[in-house]
Amino acid sequence: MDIGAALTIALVAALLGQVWAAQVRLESQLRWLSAALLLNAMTLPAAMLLFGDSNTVFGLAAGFIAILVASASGMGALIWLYRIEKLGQTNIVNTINATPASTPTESTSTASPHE
Amino acid sequence: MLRLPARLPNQRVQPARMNDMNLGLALAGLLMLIGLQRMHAGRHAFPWFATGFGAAVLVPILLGGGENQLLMMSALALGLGLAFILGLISTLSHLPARLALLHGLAGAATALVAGMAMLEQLLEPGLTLGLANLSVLLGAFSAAGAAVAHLRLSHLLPHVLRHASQSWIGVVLLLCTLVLGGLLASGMKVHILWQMSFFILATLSGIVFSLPLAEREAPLAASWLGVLTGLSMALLGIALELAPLLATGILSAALTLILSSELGRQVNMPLSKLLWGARATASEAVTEPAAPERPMTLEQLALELEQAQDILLIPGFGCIAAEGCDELVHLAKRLSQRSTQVRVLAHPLAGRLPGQLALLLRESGIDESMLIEHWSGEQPIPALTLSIGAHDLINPQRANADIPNLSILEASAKVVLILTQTQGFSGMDNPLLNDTHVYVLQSDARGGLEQLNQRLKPT
Repeated sequence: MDIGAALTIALVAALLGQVWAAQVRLESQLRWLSAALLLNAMTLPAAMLLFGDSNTVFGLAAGFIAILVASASGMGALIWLYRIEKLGQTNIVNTINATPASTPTESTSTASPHE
Repeated sequence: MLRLPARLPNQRVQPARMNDMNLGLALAGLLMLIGLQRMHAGRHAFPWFATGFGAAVLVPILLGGGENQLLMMSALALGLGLAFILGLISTLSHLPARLALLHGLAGAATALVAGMAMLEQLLEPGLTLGLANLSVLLGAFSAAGAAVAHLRLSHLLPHVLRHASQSWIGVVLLLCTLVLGGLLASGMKVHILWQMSFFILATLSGIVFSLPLAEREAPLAASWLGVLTGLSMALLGIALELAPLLATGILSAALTLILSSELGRQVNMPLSKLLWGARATASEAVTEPAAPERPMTLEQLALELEQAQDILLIPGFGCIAAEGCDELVHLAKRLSQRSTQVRVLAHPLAGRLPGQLALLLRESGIDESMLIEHWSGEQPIPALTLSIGAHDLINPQRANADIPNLSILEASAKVVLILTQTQGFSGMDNPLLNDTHVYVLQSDARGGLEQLNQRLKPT
């Protein structure tokens, strides 16, 4: 692949990711994390492409497992995204965006509340 | 212009098929981009992601041309089926563990695809093979780390293994892996045993770095490992000349990087602390939990709830861990039937992952009008506040403006904490316990709420 093209693609994708992620609110992070995970499912077609022409035992084994785990990962992320959206996180985001009191403030915490 | 060395020396994958694949992948990627844009606009994005994923699955099937179609379809059916079954049997309380598992699977998939290209000798020694090696390293590291995080969150690996030299062992392992990767990329070592050793070393590095992480650190660590998976996928895209793979890999890495760093900032756990801090705290002595100064019985609390006009319920991780959300929603409904104003604060940081608690409460059928996710400092704190397993969340030392400061209350106001022990999961002391307004009911969240529901008089 042309290095210039690769760098341009990488730069544009990184910028796009930065623009979107910078505006994600804490309460909708879960949805975005599932979506980012789903993007990784693009490995699946690459695995299928190489596996189709694989002819060594180790290659076949690696390819079989790769397709299995890539499809499981993609499908799993899709299921969670469905469940999260079904429970109406979109509505929350909209409601909160309309509420001035919900403006996030910088945390000065000293311990993780994920405990 | 400088070009990476040509790939696919034995030309097993025809150029025309590669072009079609690139086109198909670009279509799938575009559909997912539309999904992300809709998500950004606060609209439902699932159909777009589902179509994008469907396209990603269908494109290689439609292109055909392979010799192992039957095996491929079997692997695909098995993977999709297993994910579907796992999705059906998992509840929302399993979400952090399952997301860690999915991160691990994605990392493993990328490492295996790069490994397959190496094993099939599809890549020329040099920069292309080096990038594929790096992809294997990042993918295997991410998969192993996320697998440890999954086991930790599923309580299958309860003991945190920490040693003073653990970080350095990890660094040495990582350096050895890099050196071996360099040798493999240069073509000096081509035997399969060296390739397997490289894969094993990369996996071991991920395990060594992840073993010292405690359960509360595991979701954030899994999220950070997602960055490595994205990068691994991008490198694989360059090595295999699949531009859409590069674009989606970088996009995924950028999104996860910013989301993880923001979450780390919110919970005061930046990456550096996660990598090195977790080990440093291993030797720190945990102080003995103090006995509550003002205990309260279930009968007293039931009476307080019956008399109060305005109640704020603050569930925390203890409520999720004890699977008490159903009982909490039941309590909120019963209280509102008594014409009491009930608000339930489901702060995004109350769960293991942001927003998990609100989802659980919605699943339990909470009335949307009761649910709030942020507290405004201007709002007066109600006469009665009931914290259910939110010991760390309401700790005034955290001083988060989105959470009511329960150390500054009117004289008549009361706060009741339902907790199992006087230290939260963080092991941190809470000054609220010495406050004259604060009473403690020692019980697990589910059991305590269940008994409260039984004791409340019918309206």
